[in-house]
Amino acid sequence: MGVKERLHRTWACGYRTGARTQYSATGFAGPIRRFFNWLYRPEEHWHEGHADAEEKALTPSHYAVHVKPLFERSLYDGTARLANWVSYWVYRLAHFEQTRYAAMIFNLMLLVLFSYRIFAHQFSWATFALESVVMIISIKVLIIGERR
Amino acid sequence: MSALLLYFLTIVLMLLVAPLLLSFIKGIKMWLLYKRPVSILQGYRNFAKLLRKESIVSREASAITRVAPFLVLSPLLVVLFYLPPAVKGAYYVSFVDAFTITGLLALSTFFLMLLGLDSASSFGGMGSSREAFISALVEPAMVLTIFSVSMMAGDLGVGQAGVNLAEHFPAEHMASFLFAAISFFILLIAENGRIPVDNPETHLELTMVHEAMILDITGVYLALIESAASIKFVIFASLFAGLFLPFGPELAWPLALLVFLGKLFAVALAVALIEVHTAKLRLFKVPNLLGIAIVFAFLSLITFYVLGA
Repeated sequence: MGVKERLHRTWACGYRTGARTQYSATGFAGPIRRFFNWLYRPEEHWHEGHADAEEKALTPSHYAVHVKPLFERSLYDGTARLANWVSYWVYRLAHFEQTRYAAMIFNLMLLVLFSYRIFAHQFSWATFALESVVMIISIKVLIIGERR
Repeated sequence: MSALLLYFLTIVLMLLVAPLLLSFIKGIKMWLLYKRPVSILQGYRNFAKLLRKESIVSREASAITRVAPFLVLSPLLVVLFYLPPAVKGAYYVSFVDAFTITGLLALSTFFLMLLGLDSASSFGGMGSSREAFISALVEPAMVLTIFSVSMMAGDLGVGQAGVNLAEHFPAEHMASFLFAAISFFILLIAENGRIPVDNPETHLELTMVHEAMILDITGVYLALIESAASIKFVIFASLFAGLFLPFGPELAWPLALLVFLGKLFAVALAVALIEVHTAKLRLFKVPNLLGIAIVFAFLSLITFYVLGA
């Protein structure tokens, strides 16, 4: 177009233009991120600079913000926590000592004895409730024990 | 008069009237503030002056600064060809829908944001960041509003919707029509950077959005960007006039064009009155206003579908 141009440095309030006087991506996304705070709940890390003893210089401040994707937070992390909980209990049950082993056999025998009634057609809800309570107590006391 | 000729005549008229509209707004504002109004031809004088001026470009700027002003103007010039016709019998493009128009306007805004970031000044970055923030909230509302009006008019193409609305005014859908009109007016104010959202006459960088992005350009490039701003206002005013004030096209073509110009000036008058009577909103209060626009757009769609009103 034949535009006559003259070049001149950008005024950066007396400082030299550089990466520190320009907008970074965090700053650019600042207003949108602040507006959507309620949805994304980003993790902000803000280390504020402070003046040194003689108040001559200021240590630099650091600000970092990280938005974890919502699916990762709810779906993946939740599933991971559930898998961890299940594997903990499976480990506890699988790595038992002699007493626990005996207690497990005791509970299995209780189960067989109590379920005999179903096959002998002598089922009643009262006895079922009683036997469930006994089973639960024995499992809790002998097998699960205290939570480590 | 032939259809194509009327089509091109309307477009040329819109191009010529664009600076006049912005000067008209400024003149009305000054007159209401008891100042002597600036000449109504000041927009043209500014354009001519900027064309003669020397272009000073930042040493830190890249090729984007030389290219972006053209890329800001061209999508808007393309949109000018897609607007509803002002005269019945004129040619119009019937298949362009809300997504295309919003996308082209967003393309123009994107290059303007790049231009703001390019000069390595923090003011430009601030303007771009704020413009991104506002655009992210405006564009969904605009798509919803224009779709809502297209539903009422029975055609997804904006040109065809304008013609249908001129033929049959949807009095049975008045509620959703009014909601869409309110929403579109708020978006008109937001996208063109008028007072509740952005101050076009500010000299303080703290209050700038659009002005901050164009702080570091001058000369021909600034002339292009300012004409892009005026054409954007004409586009929005013409869309408002064509979709929400659909009377007039059935008259004889000189009268119809005059009515069309009158509608554009009426929209400009409304914008000027709002500018004088409101203060600029804080940046983080702007989503409240744009949220109102989105809510009205949703309401318009819901009343149309659920209530049938």
